Amino acid sequence: MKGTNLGEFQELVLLTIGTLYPEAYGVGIKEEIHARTGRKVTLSTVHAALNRMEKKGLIKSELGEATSIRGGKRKRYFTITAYGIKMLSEAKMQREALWDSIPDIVFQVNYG
Amino acid sequence: MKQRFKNHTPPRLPQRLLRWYCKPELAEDIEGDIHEDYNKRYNRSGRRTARFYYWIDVIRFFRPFAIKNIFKTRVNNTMFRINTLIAFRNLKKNPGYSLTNIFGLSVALAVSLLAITLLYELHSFDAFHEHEQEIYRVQTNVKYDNYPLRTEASTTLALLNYLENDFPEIEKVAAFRFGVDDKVKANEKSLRLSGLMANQATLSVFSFPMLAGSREALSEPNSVVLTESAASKLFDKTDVLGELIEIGSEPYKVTGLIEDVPRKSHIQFEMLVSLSSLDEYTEGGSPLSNWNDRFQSYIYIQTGDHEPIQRINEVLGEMGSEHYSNPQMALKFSLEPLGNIATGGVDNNPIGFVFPTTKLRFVEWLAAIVVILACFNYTNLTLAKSFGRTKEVGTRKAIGAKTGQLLGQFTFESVIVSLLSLSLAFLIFYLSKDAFLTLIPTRNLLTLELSWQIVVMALALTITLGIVSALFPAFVLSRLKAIEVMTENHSNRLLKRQNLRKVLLTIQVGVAILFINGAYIIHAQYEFIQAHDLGYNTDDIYNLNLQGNSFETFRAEFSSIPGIDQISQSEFVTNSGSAAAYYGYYDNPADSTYIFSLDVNPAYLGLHEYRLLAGTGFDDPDASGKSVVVNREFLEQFGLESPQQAIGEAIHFHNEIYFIQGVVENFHYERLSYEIKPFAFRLIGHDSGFANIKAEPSGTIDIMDRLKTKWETLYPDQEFQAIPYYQLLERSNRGLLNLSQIIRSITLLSLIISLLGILGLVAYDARARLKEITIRKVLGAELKHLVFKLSKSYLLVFLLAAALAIPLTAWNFDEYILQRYSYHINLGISQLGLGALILFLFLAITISYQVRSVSRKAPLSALRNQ
Repeated sequence: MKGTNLGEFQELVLLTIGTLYPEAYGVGIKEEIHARTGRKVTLSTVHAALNRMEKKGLIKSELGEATSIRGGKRKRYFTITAYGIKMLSEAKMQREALWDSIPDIVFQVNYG
Repeated sequence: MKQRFKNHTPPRLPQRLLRWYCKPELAEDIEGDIHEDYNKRYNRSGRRTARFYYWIDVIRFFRPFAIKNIFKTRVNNTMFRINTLIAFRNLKKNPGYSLTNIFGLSVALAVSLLAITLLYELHSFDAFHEHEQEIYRVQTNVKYDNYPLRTEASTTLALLNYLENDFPEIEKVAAFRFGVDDKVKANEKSLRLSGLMANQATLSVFSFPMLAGSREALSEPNSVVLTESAASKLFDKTDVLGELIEIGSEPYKVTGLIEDVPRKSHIQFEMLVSLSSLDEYTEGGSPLSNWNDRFQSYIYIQTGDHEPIQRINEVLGEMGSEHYSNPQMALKFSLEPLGNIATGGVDNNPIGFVFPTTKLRFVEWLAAIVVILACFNYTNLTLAKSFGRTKEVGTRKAIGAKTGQLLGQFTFESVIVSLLSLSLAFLIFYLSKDAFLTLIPTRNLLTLELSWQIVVMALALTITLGIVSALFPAFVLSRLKAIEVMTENHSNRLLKRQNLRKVLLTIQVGVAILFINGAYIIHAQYEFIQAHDLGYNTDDIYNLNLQGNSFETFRAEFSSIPGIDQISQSEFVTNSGSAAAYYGYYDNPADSTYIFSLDVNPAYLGLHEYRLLAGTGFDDPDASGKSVVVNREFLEQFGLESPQQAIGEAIHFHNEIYFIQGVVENFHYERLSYEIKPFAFRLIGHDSGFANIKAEPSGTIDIMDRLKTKWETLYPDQEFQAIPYYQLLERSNRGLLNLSQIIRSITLLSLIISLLGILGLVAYDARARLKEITIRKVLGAELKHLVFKLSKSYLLVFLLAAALAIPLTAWNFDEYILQRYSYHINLGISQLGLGALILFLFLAITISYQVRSVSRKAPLSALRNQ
């Protein structure tokens, strides 16, 4: 399964798409990430990730309505595919498994 | 929520940029997102910020995922590949033709590479000086009598004071002066270093990189600044500040050390001596105030930050008439920017390197002509070859190729040919570089290194050449109509469009004739000059620089060497570029003019076999320090009737009265480019100048070796400086010899290009008319008829070319080249006819050969495929 693992940023974008369902599009995702994590990401980074994940089949997209604020250009709405859901939950399970295997003592040690 | 935002128009330029590079399937979405962000920013932070971020966003999206494949989508990739394939197949199909083309173009490109490299190198001279843009040289423009205006790089140091004090525009003034003794001693070591005197400001005006000492190092008298390699030669180390050295016999203190003078500097030296040392060892008037001392000093001014120099030029222009009262001489000073000096036209009294402008223009012109010839050649051959490709074009058109695509294909082929040629051109360039360097004045400073800028220029030139020379053939071919091509008559129709071919061929043949004639004429002129009777005999004579040693001692010692016949003494050597001239007149002071002169001892005239027309020469016991021997021109200039009548007449010369002791036939005391003027020999009265040693005409004995051995035993400290007269004459005609060699090599190159072109053309013509020739043969035509038939159009071209080229050669050489030589050959039928003859023979042989080889084919096999 080498190479199919989600990158950290991709996972973040994927989760955001889920959050915004069904109206996840470029600027919206960017702003949501900023609002929730405080990370300033650029539009092109978001698009690059979206493009890559769409090629991998994690998300799919369709064109929506045109608005004047976008200069008459249509939005592209993204939704997570079944494969995307699977990858997300796999990632989540991996994390949880890791969390679970950390001995309790680790959390009790005072590092100061 | 959306209604809160008003739509604003984003900047157009980045928008267009985005639309250009972005993948079409992503474009709408991305542009919309950027636009939306833009509008939000606009309302939040204002127009400027929003526009700025629009730019940033567009630039940020320039990432692999969003960029469409510009090259692949625009120019169809498959087509590009196929075009390349076709181009190479075509090259392979006709190897002879391709080689001709590639060779011709690469020769032309190699010549232009040489020219470009030379130009580039010359223009980068002196650019390392920090104030390059603000430095100007003061030069002197002199107009004597009716001689042409002469601009000298040197000037007088008397200007220094004015320049330093009277001009607010001038920041600093640097001055150089020749005359530093080259014998340098330090730590028991003695060697020769080339030095210049320089004033205090020199090191701050010019940015020669300092290694030690300050830029004020030349302020004290008897200070010297050494270059790194001079220091290590003298001391074997470079930590030399404060050391004492002896220059001539004066002590000097080393006050500075600079890096070796960069190769690209027109001023070259190994040491700089402070100009303030000058006062202490010059006799007579100080050069700092003597306006007539203007042949050894050089002044450079540095203006304040790009100040205009107009006013300085005006004031300097008037200064001449204030300080020079000679009515026959008008003198002006003027400024020349530092950047122009290396390529400038001022090669009188240069301080160092200068590449004469006329020679530079000459190289440029030759390169341009060769390039144009090669282009013509390509166009011509391609046009000729287009016969063979009409079917290809027709087929392509029939299956839907557009004119533009065909145009592209043919241009592309041509560019490939020229790029192949360029690689060969680099090879030729490297092989011929050294030979070229020996033909131009380089002073070992020019190396013709390639740099990336030159490679870029060469690439641009090559591609342009490829496109230009393909333009016409490509146009003709791509405009063919499919139906025209597929019907029988196409080649006739195509032929009609080939008038240009004839025009180009005429020019090629004409230029070839011009070049052959030119090379022959210049060579003949060189031979003429070498063989020209100078009016005196130079055979077996060796000139030796006495370097101030006593002539009588020298003669006593050297006469005993076996093989030596006679020895005489002269102030300098005739025909070596040295000359002296003073004002003088016969009986009327109003006739005053320059009389050239040479001081000699009594044996001189006899030894050189001057032809005495009257009188006795200096051998007469009556001859005294007041005697002169004049030439025939002298009599003519001053209206003396006959040589006999002139003997004993008094003349005024060099502010004294002399009596004519003898008259000699006119002779050439200068190169043959100079006209003979009045001349007077005087008796030499001091121990300087040269010994003229006449050897017995035995031929086999090496006199030079014997002279050298003797010199070294007599004067062990002084360098042996002698040269056989014939070598000196060769050297003084060097310029013409070089011109002759350059023209000869260019002639050869352009001739090869043209001849190969004609060869290719005739071959194609014969092939294209294969059917006609075969049918004529079958019907009983003889070879000579066939040859004549095919030659007809070429004969016309040849006659036209000859009719244009011959008068052009005559005019060109008479007007511009031979007129520079007061004594020159007259153009005759052989000089003017040679080129035409060679071309005619070549055409005749080529055509007969081609027709023969075509008509030898068995008629059946020749006609089967037609």
